[in-house]
Amino acid sequence: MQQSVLSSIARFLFLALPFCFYLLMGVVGRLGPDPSKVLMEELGEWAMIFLILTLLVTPLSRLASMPVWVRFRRPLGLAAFFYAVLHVLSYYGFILGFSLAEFITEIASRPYIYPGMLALVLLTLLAGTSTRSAQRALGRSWKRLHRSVYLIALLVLLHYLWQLRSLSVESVAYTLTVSFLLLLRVFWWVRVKHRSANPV
Amino acid sequence: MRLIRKNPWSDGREQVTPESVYLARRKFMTRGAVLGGVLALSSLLPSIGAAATSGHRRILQQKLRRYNSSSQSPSFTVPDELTPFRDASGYNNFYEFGLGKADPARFSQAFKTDPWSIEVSGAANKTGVFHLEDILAFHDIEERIYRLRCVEAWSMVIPWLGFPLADFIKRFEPASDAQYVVFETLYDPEQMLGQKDAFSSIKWPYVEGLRIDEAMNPLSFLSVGMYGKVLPNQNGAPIRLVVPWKYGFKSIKSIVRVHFQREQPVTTWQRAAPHEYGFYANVNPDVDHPRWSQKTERRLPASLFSKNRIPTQLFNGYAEHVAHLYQGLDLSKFY
Repeated sequence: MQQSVLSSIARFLFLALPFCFYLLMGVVGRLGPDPSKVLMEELGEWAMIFLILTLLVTPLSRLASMPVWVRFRRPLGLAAFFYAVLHVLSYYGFILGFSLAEFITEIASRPYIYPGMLALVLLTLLAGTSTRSAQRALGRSWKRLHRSVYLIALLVLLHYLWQLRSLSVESVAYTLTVSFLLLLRVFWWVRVKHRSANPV
Repeated sequence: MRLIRKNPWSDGREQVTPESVYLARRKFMTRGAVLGGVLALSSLLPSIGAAATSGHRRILQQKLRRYNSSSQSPSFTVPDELTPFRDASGYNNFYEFGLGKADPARFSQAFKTDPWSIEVSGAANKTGVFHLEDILAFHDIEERIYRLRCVEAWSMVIPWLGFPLADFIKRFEPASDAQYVVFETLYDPEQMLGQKDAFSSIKWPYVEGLRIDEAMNPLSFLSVGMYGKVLPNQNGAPIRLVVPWKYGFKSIKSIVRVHFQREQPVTTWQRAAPHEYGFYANVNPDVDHPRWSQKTERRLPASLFSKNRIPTQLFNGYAEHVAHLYQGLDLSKFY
């Protein structure tokens, strides 16, 4: 029991590391002359990184036959959610100066924000139903609901690409990674369909 | 002004490229040279390097020293507080050297800006390729303290050293049908790693342009220095444009070509995203970028706790000097 508490604390600290790093650098003035923007962009990018890592768990455990990885899926998904929340909070607080009126005008009038916002709404639903009790209560529909993570990945990628000023090797790498992880699911799904249609 | 008929990019560069050093060394070695010979060759290297810096750099440093010791005051200034040199030289958009704000300072240090020449072409009486030292010899250095408003909604206040663009242009006697001036940045992927990115949405070389009356406006400035010093590479050395009433991307860096023409050119950002960046790119709080408001700006340096958010002014506060250029022009259409 004590060991599992320790390991969750260790896991939490590990996942909180990027946030602590950027917050500390921001507070001591090491994020350059425009720290608000750096903080907002880094938190958004880390939300996307954790989402990609979440999508990597199943392929890793299946392809490498290492089911132990599945234990990391929930914390990674929750990290993606928390970083997305912090990303929006830093935009609201540090870029818009905690002006609610401006925040509402901005998110309503900037089409590139829509996919990001929808992704966060869905992520909130998934985070809220991530407990074991919610899983039990929802039964079969839990799995259906949590498959929306694939849609979230597409929305996040769209939001990310839309806000870039220029493509680069980095942005193409993110696009290919997300595309690969989603296409892998399509491939698995088609294979399962095919097998059930033609039973051996 | 001396006219050079040679290609500006081959001119003088052979003396300094590592490639020619490499070739020379190889030739030397095939002749059966021993270690002593290689050492003799490497002792030649500093003198080759010294020969290359005898171009405009020496003249520029002389001029800057003379200006700095003359205790002249800036010929144009604003009441705003200056941005520290550290921030103005450490936080840059210069995509030729990478997309990150710190990339230009990191990746431009080996950039060779001497020798340098500018090709002047198109609808003008005097065209050709001109050495930068010959251009500099003709102009007196003056200082201008201007606001710089980036299209990304941050701004700085920078003391530039240079000369009016109008004085530079007049010497080439542009023809009456020269209604636009087009500028080009150096294209050299070997030196500019950003130009090597195969996926970049930007089509190199970087191209910018001004209407001739904008170019001849007294505010338009060619800068060769800032903060009393030679322009750092990451800020567009050895020579860059400064048009303070327009968004920063109009102020093209490391210029190698100036072309006069009748038609309005398509500029780099216009080509990359025409609905986001227009030809005019005048600072205007009432015309939003599709992805953010231009009503305010973050005056840098800012911190997490003091965002230094200030209202953006029409034409970046230079309306009395430039508003007449745009009379009758719908600024929301011609953004």
